[in-house]
Parts: sequence; structure tokens; C-alpha cells
Amino acid sequence: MLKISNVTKSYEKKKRAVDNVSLEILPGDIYGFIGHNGAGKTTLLKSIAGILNFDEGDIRIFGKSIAKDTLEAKRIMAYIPDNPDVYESLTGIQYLDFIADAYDVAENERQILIEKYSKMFEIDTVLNNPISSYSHGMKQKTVIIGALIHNPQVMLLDEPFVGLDPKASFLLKEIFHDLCQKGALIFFSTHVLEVAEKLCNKVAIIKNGKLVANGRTEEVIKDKSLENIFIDLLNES
Amino acid sequence: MMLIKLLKIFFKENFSLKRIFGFDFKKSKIKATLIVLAIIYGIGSMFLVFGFMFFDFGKLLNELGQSQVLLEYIFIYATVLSMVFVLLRANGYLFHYKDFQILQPLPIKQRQIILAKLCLMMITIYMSLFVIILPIGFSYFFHSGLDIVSLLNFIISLLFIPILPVVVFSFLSFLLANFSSRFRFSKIINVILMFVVFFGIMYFSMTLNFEASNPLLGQMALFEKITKVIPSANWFISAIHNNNFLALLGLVAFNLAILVLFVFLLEKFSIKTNQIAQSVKVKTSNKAVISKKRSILTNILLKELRKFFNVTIYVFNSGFGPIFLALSSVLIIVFKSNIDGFMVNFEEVNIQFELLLLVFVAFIISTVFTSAISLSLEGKNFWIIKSLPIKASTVMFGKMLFNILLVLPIAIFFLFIAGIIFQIGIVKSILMILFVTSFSFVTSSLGSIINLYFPKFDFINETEVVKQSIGAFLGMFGAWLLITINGLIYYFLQPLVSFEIIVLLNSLINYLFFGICIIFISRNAQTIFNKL
Repeated sequence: MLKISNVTKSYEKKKRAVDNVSLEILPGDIYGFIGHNGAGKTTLLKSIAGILNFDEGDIRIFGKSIAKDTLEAKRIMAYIPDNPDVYESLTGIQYLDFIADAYDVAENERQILIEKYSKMFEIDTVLNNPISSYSHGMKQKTVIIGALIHNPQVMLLDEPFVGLDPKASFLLKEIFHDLCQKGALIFFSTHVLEVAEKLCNKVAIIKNGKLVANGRTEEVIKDKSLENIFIDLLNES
Repeated sequence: MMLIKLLKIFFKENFSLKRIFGFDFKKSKIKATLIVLAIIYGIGSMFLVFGFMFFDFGKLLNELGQSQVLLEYIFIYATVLSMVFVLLRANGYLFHYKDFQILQPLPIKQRQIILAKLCLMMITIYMSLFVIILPIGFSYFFHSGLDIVSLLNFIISLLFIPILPVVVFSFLSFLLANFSSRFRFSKIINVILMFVVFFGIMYFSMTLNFEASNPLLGQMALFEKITKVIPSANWFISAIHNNNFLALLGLVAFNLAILVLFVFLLEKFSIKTNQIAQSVKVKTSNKAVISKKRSILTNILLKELRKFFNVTIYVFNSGFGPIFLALSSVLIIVFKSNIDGFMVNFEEVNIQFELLLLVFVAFIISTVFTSAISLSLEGKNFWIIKSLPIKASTVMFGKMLFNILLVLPIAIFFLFIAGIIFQIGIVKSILMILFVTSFSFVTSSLGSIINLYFPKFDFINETEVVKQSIGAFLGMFGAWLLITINGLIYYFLQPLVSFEIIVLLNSLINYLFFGICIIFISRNAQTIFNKL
């Protein structure tokens, strides 16, 4: 379980980018995280991933605090940023090997997963090329494979569908379902409300750093569409 | 184990041939050959200049029984170079590294990341030191005799000398960046502070004695004083000169203790600084937004100016020359009598003072090679210029114009002041200004052509372009080659015609070359742009 308890994060002690946010994401959940630009989505995701610290509250990943048991928490987690910034001088396989080494994935195990996912995303033939020669989508796919290489129990993704072609987007959604069936949980931010509505069993809406709605998708949207709910919430003062 | 893996990754990322030179060596053999030749020329000429100077100096010192003075030079140069390097680069290596977002979510201990980053920085420092230290070391061992123990002591202690300056100046660099970030024009303030520190270091360590015939002798007394008060300098000299094992042990233990303490402090500290750097500060303002129409050339010039002041290493590297020249305009007034005394030595060997002034100004202009790197600095944003309906030649002319405006007005001002102070005469002064203008024009256009053929858009940090790219290398050494050509013309014509005629002839040759470059850019820039 990913438990976010009363997390607050301010920049320069002035603006609260994340304001007293609490969330519980259970194994099997595909949790969509929605908000306007600058609402605090990336800040919260980065805080969970251990990239940013936070001022108050606690974040626990399957009982392990990201602030205190940092390495243990990271070992069961994977984070995919909104922009696939990777080591461009490396080849795809060198990058994946590095990530697998960091997670201490056995050689035969990583070989199987790399083969499986690279074929699935149709980048198996370019893995020996330098990443600098990849398109945005190919880089994104490489980062996704890197995130899947250790069978994470928690997947954090920041706008994962940006830059992916329709087939890759479909495959990623399938992977989400597959992982969730195995007991993992997915927490991702998106601006594509239709995706969130169809894919997620739960959604959270953040506005100016505060959670304004969260819960089961059908309970949040009721008889409206997620788009209508989102716009209504944004317009509320 | 993870440390080794991190180091491997960082090495590939920072030192792969493609990363350094900006293109695949296998794909362009002619380019590769040209680059190898240019590197041999560059490093060779550095070795020759330093080697010649220090070989002579070493011989003199050996005759006086003071060859250990060369070790003082090695110690001070290694320390000062490490200070300058760290002052400019520590922020990118330790406090705000660009791959923080990749590394931080991974289950890797921060200590290992910091150790790997530190190792990478140290290796880069050792590589820069090598060019300077090798000729001095060669002179020392050649004149005092080579034995294996002192050579081993030399190598071991050289590894430890940069540690103290690295530690002190890493924090100083961070403090400067942190202090200046509180102000509105933080980057400019940071650059000013760095210049203050840098000129401070220069003042204390590179003080020249104008009355001495060899400038190295002028540094000797100062270096002796400095090394006497720094214990690690004494250990270094004693370890090599007297084969003193205890001194070596002292040097290693002292620096190792500092290094361990540094890593321990840095481990926590660097997470904080990198996390702060992740925050995006969006400042809002109620001020009305006013749109202004400007010509394309003005826009490019303004863009270049903003880019210049936005990249600390860029302004530090290319701004050093103009600032030094501006300072020199004042210094020649203050130290006129010292310079007059110093110049007597040159007049004795029939070298004109005006010639030295021209070489000095041309050398300063050669350090301002913005046109050889500014296209590369477009980096991942190059698509913006490329996709706009602007002629490639206009873009390149804008970049050239920026380069000329950055240094030429100050160079002319310097020559104007020098003309009055040293009573050079109107005709000679005008001719000298004509030459300097032609030199600035031709180096800026040559720089543009170099950058068109050797762009480096793929970089993590701008330092890679400003300091390590082939454009920067060729830009500077190309200008030096031009100085050599102009110098050779002077050398061969000097017995036949007057100084004024030679200066005029050199200027005309430069203008002709400039014209050819302009025609080349006008005709070919677009085609080259399309291929990039």
C-alpha cells in the first residue's frame, strides 16, 4: 500500500505546492491523478519517489517510509518522469543494464524482461544504438522498460502517455492491468481525462496543492463525465 | 561495486568521443583526421611553450642549486588550476547535477553517487593539470636526475594536491551561487562575484615582476612565501626532493582526512541542494505585457546577449578577455613607468612596443570565441531557429555581430588609451585600430564557419560546449594560427618596409579573408543548416 499522510511541501516557505494531502492507494489500484498545470501533481509524485523532500507528513510504501527507509522504499518502486531525460551517450541496453544493476536484478531475470518488453514495444532492434539516436517515443519506451525491469510493487508515472503512439499507449495500459493483478499499484498523473475515466478504478483531483476530490472513479464522477467534474471543481473559488 | 558501475556510466556519458566532439568519428573520417591534427597542434604548442619556458628556467635553477623551486611552481599551479576549475564546475558536478532525477529514485546510496561524481570531477581536474604539470615535471626530473622513488612520490602526491582546493572552493562556489540567487539578476551577480574571486587569485598568485627579464622569476619570491606557510606544500616538496617518506605520508593522510570529511558532509548536503534545484520558481507579476516588433538581427543579438548572461561558464570564459582588456586600459595609465622600464628589454632586441600591444589585443580577441560555439549552444532548441523563416546566414551574421560587439569596442578603447599614454601617434594608432578591427572581423567569421561544420548540440551542461567542444578548441587555436600568419608576415617584411605598411598590409589580408568568409557563409550556411 502507498500511504500518503498529511503531506505538505512548500517552495521557499511561501507557496504551498502540496497542501496537507492524504491518500491511500491499495494494491491492485490504478489511481489517476488529475490537476491543472502547476497544481502540484509532479511535486507530489517526485516527493513519493524520493526526488523531493517534503516539509510535513509521511509517505509510506508498503510500510516503508520514503524519508527514513529511503533505499528499501525505492527498491520496490519505479518512477517515470514526464520527460524521458536519460543518459544519451549510452545505448538502450547499457541504460537498462544500469537500471537493472541499481535494482540488483539477476542477469537471467533481466534478460527475460528486457526481451519481453522491448519486443512488445518494438524497440528490440534498436537497443544496441545510442539513446541519442532515439525518437522521443523510443526514449519514453526505454524508460518504461527500465521501470518494469524489477517488477515494481509501486509504479509512479508522470504523464506516461505523452509521446507514446496509440499501440504503445494500449500496451502500457495492458501492463498496468497485468501488474495490478499481481498485486502492484499504479499512481499516475494525466491531463487526458478520458484515459483516467476509462482506465482508473480510483481518481484524485488536485487544485492549488489541495486534494479537492478523490475516491472510486464512479463515485467521484457520479452521473457526469470526469471532464465536467474537473471543470466544475476548477471553477469553484 | 555500484560505485564502479556509476563511474562507468558517468565516464561514457562525459567522455565518449561523440559527446566530446559532437559527431560520430566512424561516420566522418576527414573531420576526425582534421580534429586529431588540431588536437596534436594545440597540445603540442602548449607543451612547446611551457616546455621551452620551464626547461630554460629549470636549467638556471639547477645551476643555482634550487631545482626544488620547480616543485613549488607545480604545487601552486596545480592548486590554482584546481581552484579555478572547481569554482566554475563544482555546482554542476556536486550541488546541481543534471541527472539527479534519474539517479534519485533508484536504490543507490547517496554516498556512492557523490563519490562517483567527485571521482569524475577529480579525473577531469587531473587531465587539465597534466598539460601544465608535465613540462614542469619533465624539466625538474631532467635537471635534478630521475629516480624511481621520487617519481613515484611525485605521482602519488600529485593525486592528493588538488583535494584541499577542491574542498574549499566547492563550498565557496556553492556559497557564491547561493548568495547571488537571492537577487533579481542572480546570474550576473554570480558572475561578478566569480570574477572578483578569480582576479583576486590572479593578483595573489600570478603577480608579475616587470623588472625581471623572465616573468617566471617574478613569481618565484611570491611562490616561495606561499609554499612556506602551507604545510602540504612543504610535504610535497620534501617527499619528492628529499625522498622523504614521512612527508609523503603526512601529505596523503592530511588530504585523505579532508576528503573523507568532505564526502561525509557532502552526502547530505548535496541532496538538499539538488532538491532545491528541482523546484520550479514561477514568479507572477501584474505588470502589463508589452509586445515589441524588432528586426530579426536585433532579435538574434538580444537572444545572444540573454544567452550570454544566462550561462555562467559562457560569460566567465568569453567575458574574461574583454574585462581584462578594460582593466588593462586603466592599468597602463597607473603602471606606465613600470611598463616603460620593462619595454627597454624588448627595444634592445629590436621588438617594437606597438607590435607587443597588437599581439596582446589579438590574443585577448582570440579568447572571445563566441561565434565558434554559439550555434552549438542552441542545443536542443536548435529546431526553433531552424523551423523559423529566417535565413541561416542572417542567424550566423547575428552571432558574428554579437562576437564583434563583445570585444571590439573595448579593444579600440584600449588602443586609444594606449595611443595617448605611450604617445604612439595618430597614423600608427589608426592603423593599429584598423588591424585589430580586421582581426576581430576575421576571427568572428572564421568562428561561424567552424561552428557550422563542428556543431555540438548534444550536451548535458553548457560547459561541454564552452570548454570542451571542438568548436571552442578550433575557434581559439584558429585565431592563434591567424596571429602566427600575421606575425610571419611581419617577420619577413620587417627588414624591407616600415611597421605602418606591414600593419596596413596585414589588415588588408585579414579584410580579404573576412570577405571570403562572408561570401562562404552567405552561399553555404543554408545548405549546412539543412543538413544539421
